[in-house]
Amino acid sequence: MVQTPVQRAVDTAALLQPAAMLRLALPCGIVRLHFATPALGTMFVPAFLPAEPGAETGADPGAETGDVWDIFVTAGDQGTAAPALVPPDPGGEMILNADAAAFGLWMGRHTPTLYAVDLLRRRALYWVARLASVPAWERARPFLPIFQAMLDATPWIAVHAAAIAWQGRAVLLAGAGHAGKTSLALAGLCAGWRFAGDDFVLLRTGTAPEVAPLYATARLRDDMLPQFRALEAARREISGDDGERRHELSFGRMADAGEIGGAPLAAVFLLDRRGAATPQFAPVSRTAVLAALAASTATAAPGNGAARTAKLMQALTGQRPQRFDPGGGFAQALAALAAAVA
Amino acid sequence: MPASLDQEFCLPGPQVISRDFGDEMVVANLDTGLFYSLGGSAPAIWSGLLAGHTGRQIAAALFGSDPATHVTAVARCVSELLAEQLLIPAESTAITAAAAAPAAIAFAEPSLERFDDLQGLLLVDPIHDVSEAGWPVLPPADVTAG
Repeated sequence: MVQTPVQRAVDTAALLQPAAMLRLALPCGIVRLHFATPALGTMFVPAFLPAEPGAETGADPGAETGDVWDIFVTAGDQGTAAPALVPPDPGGEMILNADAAAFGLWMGRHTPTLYAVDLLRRRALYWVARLASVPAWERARPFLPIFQAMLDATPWIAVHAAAIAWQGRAVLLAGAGHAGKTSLALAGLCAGWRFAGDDFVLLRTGTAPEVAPLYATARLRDDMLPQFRALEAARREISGDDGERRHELSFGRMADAGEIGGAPLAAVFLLDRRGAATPQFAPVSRTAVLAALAASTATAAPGNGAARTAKLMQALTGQRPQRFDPGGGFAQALAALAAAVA
Repeated sequence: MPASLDQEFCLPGPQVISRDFGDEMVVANLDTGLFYSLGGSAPAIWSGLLAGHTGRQIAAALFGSDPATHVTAVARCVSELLAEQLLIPAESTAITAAAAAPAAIAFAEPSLERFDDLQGLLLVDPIHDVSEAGWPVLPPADVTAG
C-alpha cells in the first residue's frame, strides 16, 4: 500500500527514540505523548493531567489495550528535520488537508507549526520550527488541532468555552474572548466547584451530554491575580502574548486547588457582561450560542467544519441556553449559577 | 434579484447545514462563517424549499385559503436566503413529485437574523484546503534540520 504524505511524516517521527513520555486518558482512548527531547517534555507536560500518578516516564510504555493514540512531539531546533509536509513557503497562510484517513494542518502565520494525524493508524505528529517561538497560548493548550481530529470519530468535540460543575451538574460558559470565562471558572474552582477548563473543554454531544477536561491549565490576566491568591501554587510562568501580561497556571500537580474533572452537562450560558450589579439571566437564541462556540473552536482547530458544527448543534439539542451577566461579584454569580442548575 | 416563486431550490453544498430545534431553526454557512436564526414562518419556508416545493406552493400550502397576501413575504424570504448563499436554484424537479405538501401553519412575518462571530476570524486566518496531491511539499534536498 502506498504511504500518504501524512503517513510518511508520522512514520518518520515515530522512528525517533523519545526522551520522555506522558500517558493521558481522553474520551477517544489512551493518548501517549512522545517527546523527542526533554525540553519538549518540560514545555508541554504541565498542560495536562496525567492518566494516573507515574504516567510521565521516559521508559517504554509497553503494551496497551483498547484505543491507543500516539502523538510524536518534535521541533526543528531540537534536532528533528522539517517533515516533507512543511511547505516551501513556511511563512504562508494556513494549509489544511483533511479526509477520512488523514489530517494535515500547516499553521504558518503565527508560529510555523505542522499538525499531522494518521487517523487509520492512530498516530500523529506535532512539529514546530523553533521551540522558543511556541506562544503561551499553545503552551497552555498544546496540540489542539490533533486532539480535535482524533475526536472527530467520537461523539466528543473540544469547544472554546469554560466549564465548571457544582454537585455533579456542569455549566458550559460560552463567550467571546475577554467575556470573563476564565475569571468565573477560576472563581468556581476556588469556591469548590469542579473545574473542567477555562478555554477549551471536551464536550460530549448526544443524548447524555457531558463535559470533561482536556487541559489542566488556565491563563489569568495580570489584573485578576489579586483575586486568586488561592491559586498561587499553580503559577508556572508569566507570558506576554499580544502585549497582554498573563499568569500561566498549571493544575496538574496542585493537590489543594479543588477538583479538576468533568460532569454531566446541565446548562449552557452565553457569558455577556453588560454592567449589571447583580447576576442576570436573559433568553438567548441557540444560534447566538452556536456562533460564539464555533468561532474560536473553528479557527483554533480548523477542519471538518460541517461535521464539527453539526456536533455543536447536536450538543444544544435539549438545551435552552441563557445569556448570563455575572454581575459585580463572583460569589453572587456562582450562587446564581448553582441555583440555575439545581 | 427577486426570487422566482415558481423556482425550486436546493442547498449549494455541504458548507450549508441547518438544524431544526423545534422552536428555532439554525442555518450555518461555513464558507462565509455566518450563522442564521430563522424566525417567524421562515423555518417552515426553509423546510418547504428543501423538500422541493416552490415559494408559491409553500405560500398556498402553509398559509391556508388566502395565500396571495403572504406571497410577497415568502418571495422576500427566498430572496434573502439566496442573497446569503444559503440556497441555489435546483436543476432537477425530481424531488417535487415525491414531496408531501407542507402542513398549514399560522403566518408570522419571516425573519433572518445574522451572527458573524466566526466571519471576522476566517478573514484574519484564511485556510487553504488542498487535496493530498496538492499539498505543497518541500523537495527532498530542502528537507533539513531546522
